[in-house]
Amino acid sequence: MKGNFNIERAEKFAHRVRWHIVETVIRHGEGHAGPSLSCTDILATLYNGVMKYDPQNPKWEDRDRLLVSGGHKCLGLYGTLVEAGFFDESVLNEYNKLNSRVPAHPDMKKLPGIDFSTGSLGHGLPLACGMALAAKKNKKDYRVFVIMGDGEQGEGSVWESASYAAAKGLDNIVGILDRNGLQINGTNAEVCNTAPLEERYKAFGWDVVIVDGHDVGEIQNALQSAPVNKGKPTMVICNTIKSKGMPFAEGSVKYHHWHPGKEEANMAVQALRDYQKERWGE
Amino acid sequence: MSITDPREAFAKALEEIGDNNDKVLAVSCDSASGSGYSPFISKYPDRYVEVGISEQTGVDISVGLAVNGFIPVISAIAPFLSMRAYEQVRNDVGYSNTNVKLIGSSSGLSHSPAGSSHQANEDMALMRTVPNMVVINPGDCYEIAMSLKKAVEYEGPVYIRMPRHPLEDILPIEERDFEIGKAEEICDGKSGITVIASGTVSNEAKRAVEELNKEGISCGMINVHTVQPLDQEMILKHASKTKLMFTVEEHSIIGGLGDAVAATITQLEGAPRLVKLGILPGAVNTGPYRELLAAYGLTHEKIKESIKKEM
Repeated sequence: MKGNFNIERAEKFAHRVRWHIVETVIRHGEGHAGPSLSCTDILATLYNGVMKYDPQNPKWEDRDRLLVSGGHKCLGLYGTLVEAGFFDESVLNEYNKLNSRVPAHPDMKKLPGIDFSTGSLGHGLPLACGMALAAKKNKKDYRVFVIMGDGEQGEGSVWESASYAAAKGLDNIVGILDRNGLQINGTNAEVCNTAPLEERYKAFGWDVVIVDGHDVGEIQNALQSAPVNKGKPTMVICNTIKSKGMPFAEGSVKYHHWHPGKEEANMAVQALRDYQKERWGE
Repeated sequence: MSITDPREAFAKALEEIGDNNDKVLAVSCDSASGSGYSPFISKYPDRYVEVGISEQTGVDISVGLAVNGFIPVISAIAPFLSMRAYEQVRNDVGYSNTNVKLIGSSSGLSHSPAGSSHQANEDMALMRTVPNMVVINPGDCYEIAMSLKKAVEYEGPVYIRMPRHPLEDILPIEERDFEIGKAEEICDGKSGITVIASGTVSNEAKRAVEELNKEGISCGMINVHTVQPLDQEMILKHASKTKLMFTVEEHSIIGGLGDAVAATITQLEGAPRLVKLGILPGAVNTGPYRELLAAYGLTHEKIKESIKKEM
């Protein structure tokens, strides 16, 4: 599936994913809301006209691959896969229960549509290198998308594989940096500054494009145009806001892992309703 | 005449496997020539993946290739592959059950003078705890070639320890049949003693057993190339008629063959006493290979001494 891109459709898709994230965390009592809401618009864009995929044939050889390297963003991924038709939303009721198909980090053996299990940071880009190399060797034209966080850039394996991807000219890798500036213990700048990421990736031999990570049109343009140059991998840096969609939590480090009380839960639901009404009058 | 250089045996086997299966790729972490990849690379340059000094990335690149139909054989010096990249191995190879073949080259004390950083005395212990992982510890050039061949035929994760120093065949090739998970009975004993040996020191153990037999101490012996899954049937068969068992390995006495055998024989009521011969945890000595083996009690003379002492 790779239809024409439609901004309103992608935005509505993203909004429905936000509902899944917020409702699942409220129902369960806790979850990684902040980082999932941060990358929701990116995921919605990928599954609305950018990526080639077929929910009826999730192992389709020619599909584009996606690695959500920060597996803790999985509520965003689960909600996206529900909306893209890979499985029913009732599966989300199992979130973090015994033998759940939707644990707090995604497991490829438990659900269709997950190209590889993730959880430990710094595995996504090297895995993407292997998948991209396989495409070149098999003469396939699929692309490999990998979503990473800016905090994750502290892992050395990210930079090992960033070197590799550029050295081997893996222009079928599209890196996506969900740059919300926050990690568990504070701002990225305070904890162990990984900036300047644009300059670092350029120095490593990548093309870098910077977009507003909540503007689906901008994201779509950047992802669709990758690779910027033949023979070079592209990094799309998406400037995002952690917990986007829950105004009381936006940009606050406290909501990386959200434990919603009743008041906050009501606020989050109201915020989504208000946004929906304001944007689409629904 | 049989080959005695492990690297040569590995190189020849990989080339033959490559001739018969175009999905096999050689993945190197700046270790191509040291790993014995050179003939394969010369013949199949487009099936050579050089990752550089990045074992973590090397393992995950192999995984990315494996899930798209390739059979990557990744080789790097054993401690770097098994320890630095352990989490990638556990998550992305083991838990995910991907078809990656890991070759820990210059395993054990192979790099004996190079210091503890380059010795791999805990790699089997680590790999045994990885879900789905087959762990093979070849002890001669036949076992090296066969372990690689069988690993490529087998669908799933395999770790092979690759020795570096010259090795004699443990048994004549015509007497052998290599299957993953099957141990070989070298001899049966009458004195209630069984020696179970694996890898590079199997020949040392065998010589010790032969000398003891000549002295009238009749020992049984089992050669174990696959440490996981262990041939429990063979171990239990001997344990049931043995009072004293020895395990011999060029590895820490924690977590390797010795502990695998210990865990097996505890199933038996009246299990034999087990003495684990190997490297004591924390031993970080260096020196010429055979001298260091002797210092750790792993040459045939020392093994024989240990057996007599424990009788």
